[in-house]
Amino acid sequence: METTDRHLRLLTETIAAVNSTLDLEEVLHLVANEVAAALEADACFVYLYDEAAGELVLRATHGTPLDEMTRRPRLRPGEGITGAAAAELRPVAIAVNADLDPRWKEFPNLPESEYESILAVPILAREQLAGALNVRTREAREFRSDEIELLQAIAGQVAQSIVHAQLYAEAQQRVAELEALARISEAVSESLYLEESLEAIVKTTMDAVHATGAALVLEDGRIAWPEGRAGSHAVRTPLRWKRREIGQLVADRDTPFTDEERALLEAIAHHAAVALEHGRAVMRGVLAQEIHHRVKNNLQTVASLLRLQARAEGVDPREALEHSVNRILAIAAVHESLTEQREEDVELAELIDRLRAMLVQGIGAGRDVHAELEPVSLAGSRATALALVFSELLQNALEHGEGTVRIELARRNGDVVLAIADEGSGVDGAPSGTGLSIVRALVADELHGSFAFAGARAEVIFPA
Amino acid sequence: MSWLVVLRPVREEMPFEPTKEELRIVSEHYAYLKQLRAEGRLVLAGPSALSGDTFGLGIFDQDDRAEVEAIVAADPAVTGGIMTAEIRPYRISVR
Repeated sequence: METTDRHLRLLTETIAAVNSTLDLEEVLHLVANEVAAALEADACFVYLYDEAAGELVLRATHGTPLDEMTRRPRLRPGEGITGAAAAELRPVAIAVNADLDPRWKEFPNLPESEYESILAVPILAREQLAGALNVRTREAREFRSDEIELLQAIAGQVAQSIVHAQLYAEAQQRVAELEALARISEAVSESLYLEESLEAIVKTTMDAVHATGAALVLEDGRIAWPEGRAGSHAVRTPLRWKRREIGQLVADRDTPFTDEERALLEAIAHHAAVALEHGRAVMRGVLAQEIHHRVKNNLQTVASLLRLQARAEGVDPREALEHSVNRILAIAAVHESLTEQREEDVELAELIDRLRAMLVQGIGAGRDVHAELEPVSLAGSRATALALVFSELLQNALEHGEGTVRIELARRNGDVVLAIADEGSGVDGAPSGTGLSIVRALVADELHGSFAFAGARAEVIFPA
Repeated sequence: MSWLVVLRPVREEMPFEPTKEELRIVSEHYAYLKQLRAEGRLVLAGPSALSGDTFGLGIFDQDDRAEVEAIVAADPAVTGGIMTAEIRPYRISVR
C-alpha cells in the first residue's frame, strides 16, 4: 500500500513537471531527470521514434551527457535492448550483465557497459510507437512488477506530452511561415523599386528556411540579389506567371529540405512572381499596404493566442492547437486571395467556399454542409476579420452542432448577413469560449456590425 | 553639413504606371542610390507615394553644395528626364 501511494505521487509529480512546458527538447530532458529520480536509477535515456527513417533517435539523457556524443545514437526497433522493447511493444527488464545479453548493441560514443541492469519500455501514443525510454543502474537490480508498471504509466503520460509538444511545434512553424509570407507581401506592396522587393524576398527566404544562401534567377539568366553561400543541398523553385516560367528562386543549405519547406518556398516563389509581373507597376497604393499590414497583425494575434492557449488550464491542448491552426489557415486563405488578384476587394463567396472546403475536410468529415452564397465583395482589410469569424462559427457548428449545417451569405438593406445554422438544440444560455470571444471582438471592432446567437443559428450583420 | 534633396516625378502617375523606359531608369536610379549609400555620402533615401502626390527624399552628408549638385546632376533619374530635383540645406538635429 505504501509503495502504491509513493508511486502514485511520483507519477503525479512527473506528469506535472512534464506538462509545465511545451518545448519538446525541454519536455524530454525533464522526463529523463524525473524518471531517473522516481525510480532511483543512475541513468535514463529517452528515444523518439522517427517514423520517416524507421529509427529510434536518442533525444535526452540523464546520467550520460548527450553533448559529448558526436552523433545521436539511432536504433532500429528490434536493435539493442531498448529497440527490442519498442519492437515487441512490451517492457524488457534485465537485472545483471545487461551488456552480455545477445540483444545488446554497442555505441562507440556511448559508455553504457558500466551499467549492470536495464529496464526499457515503449512509448505508445494512440497505440502507435512514439518512442522508448529506459532506466539503468550500476548495481545489479531486479525490477519489481510495480516498478515496471510505474515506468509504463509514466511512458503513457510522456506520450501525451510528446504529441502536444509536436503539435505545438507544428502550429508555431505554420505561424512562422505565414509571418514570412506576410513580410514578403508587405515588402512587395510597399517598395517603390523592384530591386528592393527582390532583395526582401531573398532575405526573407534565407530567414524562413535557415538557408546558407539564396538568389533569384531571372528569365534572362541574370542573378538578382545573391546572398550567402552555396550549401550541399539546393532547391530551385520555378517562378510561374500564367504557366510561363519567368525565373527561379534558389535556396541552398547544408541539410536537406523537408516537404513543408519546399511548399513554403513555392509560396514565396509565387509572391516573387507577382512582384516581378504586376509589381512592375511599382506601387500598389496605400490600401494594398494597409491590407498586408493587417494580415501581419492578425497573424501576430493568432500567434499570441496560440501561446496563451497552449498553457491554459482546463483546455484540451490538442483541441486548442487544432483551433489555432484553423485560424491560421483562415488568415492564409485571405492572404492567398489578396495575392492572386490585383483588386483590393475580395470576393466573399469564393473565400467562404474555400474555407468551408478546408474546415469540412479537416474536422467535419461526413457532415452535410449546404451553402447558399450570394456574390458580395468586401475590402481586403475587413476580409481577414470576416474569414476568422466565419471559421470560428463553422468550426463551432461542426463540433458542437447536429445534423445539416447551413451557411447563408446575403445582402439585406445595404447590410451583409452571414448566418451559420445547424439542426441541434443550440447552446444553453450565452455561448462562451475563446472562439466566441474572438468572434464578438472582431464583429464589433473590425466589421462594425452585430452578432447574435439564436438557438442553433449564429448571425453576423455588418454594413457592406 | 547635410543636404535635403527632394525628387519629384515629371509625370505624376509615373510611380504607379511606369513605361518600360521609365522602369529601366528607375532601376538605375535605385542602383545609384545604393552606391552613394555604400560610399557613405547618402544618409538615407526613400519615397512617399500617394497617387498624384508622390515625391522622394534623400539626405546627404556633404561639405559643399556643389558636391550635392554634382551628385544630383549625375542621378540617372535626372539625366533620364523622369524626375526633377530640389536641393535644400538641412540639419540633422537628432540622430
